[in-house]
Amino acid sequence: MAEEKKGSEIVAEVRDVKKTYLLGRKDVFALRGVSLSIRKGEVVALAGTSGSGKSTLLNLLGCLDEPSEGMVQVFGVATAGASDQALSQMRADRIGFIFQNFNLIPVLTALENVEYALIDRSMGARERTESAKQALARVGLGDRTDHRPDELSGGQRQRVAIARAIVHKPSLIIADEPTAALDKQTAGEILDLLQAIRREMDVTVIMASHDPLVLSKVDRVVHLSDGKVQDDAGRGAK
Amino acid sequence: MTLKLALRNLFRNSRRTALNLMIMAGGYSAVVIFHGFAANILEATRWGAVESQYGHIQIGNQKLWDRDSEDSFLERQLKDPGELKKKIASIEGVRSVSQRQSFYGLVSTGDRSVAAQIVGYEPEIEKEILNETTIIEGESFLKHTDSENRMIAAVGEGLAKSIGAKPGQTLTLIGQTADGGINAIDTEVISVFRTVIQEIDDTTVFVPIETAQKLLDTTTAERVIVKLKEHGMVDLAVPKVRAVLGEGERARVWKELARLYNQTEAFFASQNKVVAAIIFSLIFLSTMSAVSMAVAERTGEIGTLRAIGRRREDVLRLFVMEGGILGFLGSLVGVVLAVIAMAMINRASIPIVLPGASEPIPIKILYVESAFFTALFATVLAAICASYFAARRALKMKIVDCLKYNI
Repeated sequence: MAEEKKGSEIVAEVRDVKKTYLLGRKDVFALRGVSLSIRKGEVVALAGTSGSGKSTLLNLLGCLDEPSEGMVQVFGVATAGASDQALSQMRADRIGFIFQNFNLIPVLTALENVEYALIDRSMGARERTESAKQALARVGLGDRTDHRPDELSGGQRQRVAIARAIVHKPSLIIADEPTAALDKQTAGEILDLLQAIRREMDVTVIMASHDPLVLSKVDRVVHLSDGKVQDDAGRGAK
Repeated sequence: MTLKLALRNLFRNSRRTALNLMIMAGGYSAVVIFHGFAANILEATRWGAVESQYGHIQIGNQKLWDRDSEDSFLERQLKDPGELKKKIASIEGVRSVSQRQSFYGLVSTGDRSVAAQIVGYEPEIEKEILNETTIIEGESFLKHTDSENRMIAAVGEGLAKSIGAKPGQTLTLIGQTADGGINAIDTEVISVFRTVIQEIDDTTVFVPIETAQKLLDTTTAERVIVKLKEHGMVDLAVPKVRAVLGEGERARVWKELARLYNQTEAFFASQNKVVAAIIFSLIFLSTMSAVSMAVAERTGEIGTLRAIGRRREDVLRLFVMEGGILGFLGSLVGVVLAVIAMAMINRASIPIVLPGASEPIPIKILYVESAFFTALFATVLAAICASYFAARRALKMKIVDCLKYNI
């Protein structure tokens, strides 16, 4: 059933995408014509060495940046030329983000960090708090709701970040090196959690990583090198 | 939630916030204190202008106000001041009505003679003109109750010095009568006075109105002075007074006549604006600097907020809210600081000599309620504007660039 779904709907698509940055007076090519489709329910890893363009591609798929050339469509919407408001709305409604360094707001508790992702939702404060508590319980932090990020371990912080990413029930989760700041055991736990969430919520997950552990646990690995897709394997090498 | 976040962000760097709060509070209290100082000077000037010089309303012949040199002395006079006084006295809110006669003449002690302004007034009614605080030598007119025959005078301190007049001495007043002749009468100096205005002390001799009328050989008065029970009643009383005036009689409000007060008011108005502009600019710059630092430190956080769907204006609102709260808290601390400083200054009775004044008066700071609210508004506004400009620049950064910074 899941396999059928995966083939049925394209969540994100890039076609002939190029991305250049201006470094001083010089153009630096981060992506040199990348084409890719990601289907609903897939767990995809963008792999490659530092500077290969995986984070740049991830940012484009997360509607955080626009391509210099080519087309990026997320949920059928072309991101190039879309208004800031429309992209913000899409990120708020349909995308969840997990960052390498967790990126939690240090002055807010775990519960408030998660709740903050729901701030624009048309729901009452009590309902918002309840949703945030449920999300924290789902990641195993139901007893840490009142702790601030500096009172939590790295793994716990990443769990709070995952709770924040899933609290609004997104269709797509973008994770940038989600295990890079964690030890091997915790990284494994986080990846298992992400897999479990993917199954429960039928969500698409795109990760940028060069961690072999990550690559071994995803459905598909897209290898990037020098701004190009070098290999688009259907399964991670286990 | 945004308010909660803004409040907590403020105390992330408590030392910087405390410093900024103190700058705001200092600026706020300086503005309020300066307003209170100016208000006190203005209040004293207004009191002096109304009580010792002009009254709240003056009635004179139209030709007195026109000041046409072609008009004769009698043409500029009120013909029946007694009747006019009766009519005005019955108006609601009127505290006193009196008549005055003022003119330039010569005053002489025998040895020395100088030109002076001779002011005849009704001492029983206008008790404020010469009282225990203004008489520095001698006694009050009120001790000489035989109003029919009192030929007495009070001489300003500076004038008394210049002609060597002392209480008990004879002072001859020389003036032009109503029909153009020269007349002289001898009066007894019963007091030397000192007002807050040196010019008056150097040039003026006060006499009872009957003395002045005797010298001028007339029963007319130059003007009728109306004083009201409360200063705020002027606007209500003026039309009522105007309604009872006869032909050729015209009423003028004290502010039309009080040049010194108007100059002082204009001076303080300008000075208050300049002081406020300087102080609020400092508040603006210090807040801008603090928010710029906060924005730089929280670039990664801005990127995160934007990534999870907060719009540019949401993040901008957060920083503006922080600035607004900072301004509000700074003002609250400023209120406390201002009240303490005002109490200390008022208690210290620091003397100050004002321009044109003959003696120092203690500095007093009035509590001007409107200044507290205006300064609060201006402080919050300055902080909000500063936050807006500091944060707006940062929000132009791309999300991906912001995310390169760690939280």
